[in-house]
Amino acid sequence: MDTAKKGSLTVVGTGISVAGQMTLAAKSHIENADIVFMGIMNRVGEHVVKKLNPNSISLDDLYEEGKSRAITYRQMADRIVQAVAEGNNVCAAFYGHAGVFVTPSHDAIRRVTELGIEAKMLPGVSAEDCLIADLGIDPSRFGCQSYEATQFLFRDYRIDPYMTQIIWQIGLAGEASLSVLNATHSHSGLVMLTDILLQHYPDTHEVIIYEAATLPICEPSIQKITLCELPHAKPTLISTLVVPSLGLPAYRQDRLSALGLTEQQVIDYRHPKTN
Amino acid sequence: MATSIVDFLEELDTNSKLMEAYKKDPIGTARAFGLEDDELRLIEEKDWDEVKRRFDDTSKATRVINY
Repeated sequence: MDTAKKGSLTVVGTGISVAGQMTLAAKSHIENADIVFMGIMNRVGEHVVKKLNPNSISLDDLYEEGKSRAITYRQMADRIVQAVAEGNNVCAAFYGHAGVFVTPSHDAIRRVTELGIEAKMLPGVSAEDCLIADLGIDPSRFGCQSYEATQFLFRDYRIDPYMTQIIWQIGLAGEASLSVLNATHSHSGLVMLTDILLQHYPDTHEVIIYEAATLPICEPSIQKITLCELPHAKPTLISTLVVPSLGLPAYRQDRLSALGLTEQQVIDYRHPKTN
Repeated sequence: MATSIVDFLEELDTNSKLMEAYKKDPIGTARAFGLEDDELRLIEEKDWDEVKRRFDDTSKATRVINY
């Protein structure tokens, strides 16, 4: 009989705030793991995890100015996978949602699964969830396009101005080297992003630079500026740009007709009269 | 007994009654929780930049490469 201990991996999110957004399931997995790896970037959040499981180790020491984050993320996944391969039940805890804008979590799960070992991810509270709550934006109202700034600049994407645009990591817009850990290199990227947005929106269009609150005594940062002011903005590494929709687009008469409907009919269905 | 602001921040984030009390009386609530004078001063002066500097390290916030 094979008595060798077989490890496992559970990847959890701890939420954006320091403790209150951690799910009960995430808390339990942290408590019961043999070892916890933390990518939390907040000392209070780390303290909370360490109280739940004293055998918790930060991954943040792998960040270094001048070192490619591609290497940093690979090393994070290496640590996690190695501990699982050694037979430990591992919990990897990342701030926010562990699967949203997190390369090493997905890589670790893929690599552990390839070893034939159980690996799973639990949902968590992401920055997007905080943004929706703090700004009162329902992503279904106009539809939503949500993407990373540099990826958008480098690739041939299209903006639909009738949808809400949520553009992440504008503090690294256009930064290709992956080796900086501050937001001082974003100016040329922001200029280019503004030029692209100006093809779809008036220069007076109000946009929002948003940062979720991580600490309960601090408010979220909600900075409203016009689109033409965006190149002069000073974002941080946790700034997100929200470009509100121009409104709902016109009805597609051809599609309504093909469905046996008229515009007036769907308007009436949408706004029924009450007696 | 003195209690750290770290414990206070954790408790504030998970205890709605404490948060309500804090909103009404930040200093009194923090003092009753057991914070030391230098930490009380941060709250009294609303020095959130210093609070963030002590606890957040946003240089380690980025975790993705997609391009």
